[in-house]
Amino acid sequence: MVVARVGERVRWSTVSTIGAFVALGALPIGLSAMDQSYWLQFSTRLLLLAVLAMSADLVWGYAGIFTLGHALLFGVGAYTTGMLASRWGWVELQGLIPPAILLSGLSAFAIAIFLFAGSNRVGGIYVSLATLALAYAAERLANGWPTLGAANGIPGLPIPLLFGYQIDLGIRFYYAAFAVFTVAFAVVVSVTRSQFGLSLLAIRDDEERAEFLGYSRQRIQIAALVLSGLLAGMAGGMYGLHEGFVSPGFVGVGLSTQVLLWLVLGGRGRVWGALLGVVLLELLGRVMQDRYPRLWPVLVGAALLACITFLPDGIVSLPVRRLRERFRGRGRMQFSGEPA
Amino acid sequence: MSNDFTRREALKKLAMTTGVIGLGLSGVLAACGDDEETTSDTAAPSTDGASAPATDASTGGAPSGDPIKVGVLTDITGPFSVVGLSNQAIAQFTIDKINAEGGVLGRPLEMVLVDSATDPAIGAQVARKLVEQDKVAMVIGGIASNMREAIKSVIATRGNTMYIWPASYEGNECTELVFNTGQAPNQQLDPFIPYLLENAGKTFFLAGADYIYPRNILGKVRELVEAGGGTVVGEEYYPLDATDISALQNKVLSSEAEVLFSVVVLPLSIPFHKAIIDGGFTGKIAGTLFDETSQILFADAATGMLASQDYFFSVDSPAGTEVREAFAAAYPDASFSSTFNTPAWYRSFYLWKNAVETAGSLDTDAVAAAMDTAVFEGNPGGPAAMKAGTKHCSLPIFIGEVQADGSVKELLSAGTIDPTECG
Repeated sequence: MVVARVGERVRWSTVSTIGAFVALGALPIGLSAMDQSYWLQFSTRLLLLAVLAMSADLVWGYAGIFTLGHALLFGVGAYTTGMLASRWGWVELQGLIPPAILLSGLSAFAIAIFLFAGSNRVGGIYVSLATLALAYAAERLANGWPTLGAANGIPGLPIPLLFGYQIDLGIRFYYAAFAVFTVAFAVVVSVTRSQFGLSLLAIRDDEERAEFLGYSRQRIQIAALVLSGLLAGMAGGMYGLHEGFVSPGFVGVGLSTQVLLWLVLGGRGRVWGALLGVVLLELLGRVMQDRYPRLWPVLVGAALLACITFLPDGIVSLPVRRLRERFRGRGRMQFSGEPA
Repeated sequence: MSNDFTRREALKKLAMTTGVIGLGLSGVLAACGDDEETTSDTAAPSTDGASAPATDASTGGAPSGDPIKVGVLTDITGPFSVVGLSNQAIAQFTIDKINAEGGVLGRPLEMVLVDSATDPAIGAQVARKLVEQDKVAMVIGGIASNMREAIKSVIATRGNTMYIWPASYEGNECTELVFNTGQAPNQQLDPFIPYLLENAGKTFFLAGADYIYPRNILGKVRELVEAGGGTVVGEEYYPLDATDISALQNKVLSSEAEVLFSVVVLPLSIPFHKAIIDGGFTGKIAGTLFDETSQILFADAATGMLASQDYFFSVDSPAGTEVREAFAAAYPDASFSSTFNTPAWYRSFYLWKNAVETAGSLDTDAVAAAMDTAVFEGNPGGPAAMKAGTKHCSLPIFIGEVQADGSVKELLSAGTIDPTECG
């Protein structure tokens, strides 16, 4: 019974996943055929932001750690590549990205130890407040630290190379970002389907019960945050190079909040929710900004409010809902904004 | 359960109400938005209507052919929107004026406006749109330096498009294809500090917010004060997001300096300058950010403030008076003041027009080469010219004093000052 159900779900999701990847892979060919270099670079940016959103989903959607400072980990990655590229003249991606991943992983580890280790560990709302304070402090620090370019950030980052092969903006950078996205996707999917992923869900849904069953909340949450930090650092490093600059906003509260909004709109705890949220919100923002330059923040805000109220599980829950109805409530993860 | 139910119901009702209000509002706003577009389209010709035919006659015909797209990037929303809306107005005004005068290379200019929302990350996105999607011939804009830093590589380095930065700023911007048409620090300070030493006092207190602009400006002020035989009795910076700087006020008052050189910025500049005057400060307040807007911000505390700028309304310049009055008539809500960079925006378009016409084409390298020595006789304060090799603009500079009625009285015309940048 159980095997059959899992089988059905896997078949459906495998088909749609392959379809989505083929579409993402073909997108730049179509866009460059139509000479749409702007939309190609726009899509590249969205893929990288989607990696950030997926990394945040890992801690919020799966591990239930509601962090208000996730951009901090992204920004550490961006500043790492920014410093290496502008101060030391590194241009090779294979040299720039690993330090970014490593440093933000380490930062995530330090934050996780601070938050979750020891006897006076932090829980619930205090995790949110602590991460909020960290992101705020990081933004202040970046704003005031001349070595990091202070408020001006690090401008004029070079176009990177990959083993001597120039990764121009446009089709090449898109595929580099696509590779990063694929790696992150694979990591998130394999992690969430592993024993470890199930223990994350267990802790998210009922901490005490999971602990009674012998799971160490500390270890699992620390591991989730570090993993998320590695992915966020990878996204941040690539993002800085793609945008050509790094600024204090990259580590700040603003971007951290934006990440949450993407997940709210797209849907948490489901791997495609992140990309969906990023694409919808950024595209909506882009179009609104062109149409109503002075009103777009209000309109985007109203759209978000409507989504939170009527679709608390995000857009991604729409097909899932229908599917679940078809299988009479035999859907996999129950994730609802309302605690049961 | 019932509790949950009522909460949900309440939420639903709230959401419905919000939704309805939101929809209604967006309808109204959408109408306003359309209105705005049409008014700016129709109002522009009508405001120029009086002068357009005459100018046409004198220059020989309206522009024809494909419009040349010009990218205008500024902060329409966010904390800097007041300045951004003035930027938008002067851009539209100048483009309409140039079109009425026959356009550039006989073609009309078309403004492509984007909102950088006072956020460098958004600025980079919209700058990319201008360059990659709209394929504009030139981008002008940016208010704060961090915006310039974020957009310059997208536009100039990666986009191979000319970028004009029309703001007085901290200096040292020498990137290829980036041209600075605002005041460089030495232009505001070289004549200003000797004037202060002679007329206001020898002891200076330097106060500013802790970021690159005040630090660079006050660093140069200190050099000039010490070179001119004055002394700096205090130099203090406060965090940009501080909410209270009464400690700084006390330091200024107890220093007994004769001149307070202030680069204290909004929003704290409002209580700060008031507290300094109320606290019995008897010296002079001088700064790089004062002009006709000062009295609006600081009320009585503005009276007597000393300023150094590229234009004051009181400057005796027929070209300046004419354009300022025409602008005020067309855009009564916008400001023509120097701190809003309005004169710099105005001359930027004409300097670029001069460069394009010298080059005879829109070829980026040819226009950039011509821009190096572009000239504009009709600059509000008097003739302006790009100084070859500096990527900055030689400008007439004036020193003035804010009067009780908010106007700025010209005390000294310092003549044309060359920028000492990128040399």
